[in-house]
Amino acid sequence: MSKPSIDRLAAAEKWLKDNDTRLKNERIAPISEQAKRAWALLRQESNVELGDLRLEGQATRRRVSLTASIDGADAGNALPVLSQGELHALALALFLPRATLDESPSASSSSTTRSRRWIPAKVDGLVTLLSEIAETRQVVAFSHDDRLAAAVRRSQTPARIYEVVRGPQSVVSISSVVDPSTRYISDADALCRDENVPDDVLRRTLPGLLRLAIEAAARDSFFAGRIVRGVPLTEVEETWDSAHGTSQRVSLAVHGEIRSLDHWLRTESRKKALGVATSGFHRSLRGLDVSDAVHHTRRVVDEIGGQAR
Amino acid sequence: MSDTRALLEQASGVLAGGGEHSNRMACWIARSALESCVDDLLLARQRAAESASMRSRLSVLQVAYEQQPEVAQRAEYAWSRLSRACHHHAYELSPTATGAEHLIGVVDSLAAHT
Repeated sequence: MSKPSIDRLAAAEKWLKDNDTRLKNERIAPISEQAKRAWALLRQESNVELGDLRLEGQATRRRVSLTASIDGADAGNALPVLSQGELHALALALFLPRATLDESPSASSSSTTRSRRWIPAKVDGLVTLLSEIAETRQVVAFSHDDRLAAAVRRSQTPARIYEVVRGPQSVVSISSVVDPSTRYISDADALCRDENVPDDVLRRTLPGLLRLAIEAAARDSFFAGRIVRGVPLTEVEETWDSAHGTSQRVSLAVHGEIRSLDHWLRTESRKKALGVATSGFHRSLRGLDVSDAVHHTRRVVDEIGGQAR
Repeated sequence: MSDTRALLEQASGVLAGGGEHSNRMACWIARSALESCVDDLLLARQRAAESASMRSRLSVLQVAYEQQPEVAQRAEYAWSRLSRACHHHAYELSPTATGAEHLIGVVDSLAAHT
């Protein structure tokens, strides 16, 4: 082959390689951006800032290059400057955006964290990050210590916390430690017991809290029942979103569809609890003792929780 | 200037000043700023409850600002982190300067709602 042809071919090959790298990097650009954002949430108390994520090299020498800066000064390669805990956080910051790309086949994202090595602020950052992902995905996180669970509790994220206990002969039991409706009820309880809360404030706040408790219980019950029967999550969510107001939501939980609750409203607790939750929202609680209101709501929440339709 | 803003500026000042206990002191001041901020937020919705416990006030806040759930979420988060940061824990280090700065920032963003 003549020299000019070889030169042209070499130039063409170089062009291909350059553009291949450019295209690959364009493809990972959204991951790079999201990884930076994830890192911003997870780093919390670290002064390491993440730079660009780039794919480099060719054939058998391909690698990911990651740059970092410390207190604003360029630190070159990121990996050597990170601590063990930061490396864990970085792994998550890189993994989560990839797992949640639209192209990714996983509709749910599950992660096992070693939060034991994490400082509290990082665990809080992780909860914020997972809560954001949970707006569009199902997120399941496994942890060996209580810090992740504690961070979830204080973040008010509508998450369920389960405790998995491995008994003799490896018999595994799973129990719910805390769920949103129980949290609302216990908040309502505490509010009633606080003598320093002015009565009018208490009566204006309680209906809202109790309504949140009932709706949370209805949602859990409705979702659990449908998902167990194999109904796709998107469909369950659509049905749930089509319900407006507490009565319709309770109806979905108890009847499986939106219809009149007249027949269901035959017990005192149901009537009173739903009355507080629906009419008490705009006006304050009247004609009912505050602790009675909590008592009836707790019964209804238990009832709704006990039956998944 | 409101109490909240004044306290937040004080917290930032203490933090910037440095010193052995400055991080924890800044957290104490930021915690007072948060209390004052929550009171302002409740007052704005005619639900003042200054002498109630913070847990109660945060519950009231959640219902009063139901249409803006981030308000109660941020307040709850800042309260629990600041309370932890303010007290000495046997197996936990003092809050770091960046941690304190972050929490002051959270209270500051909450004050923007008042």
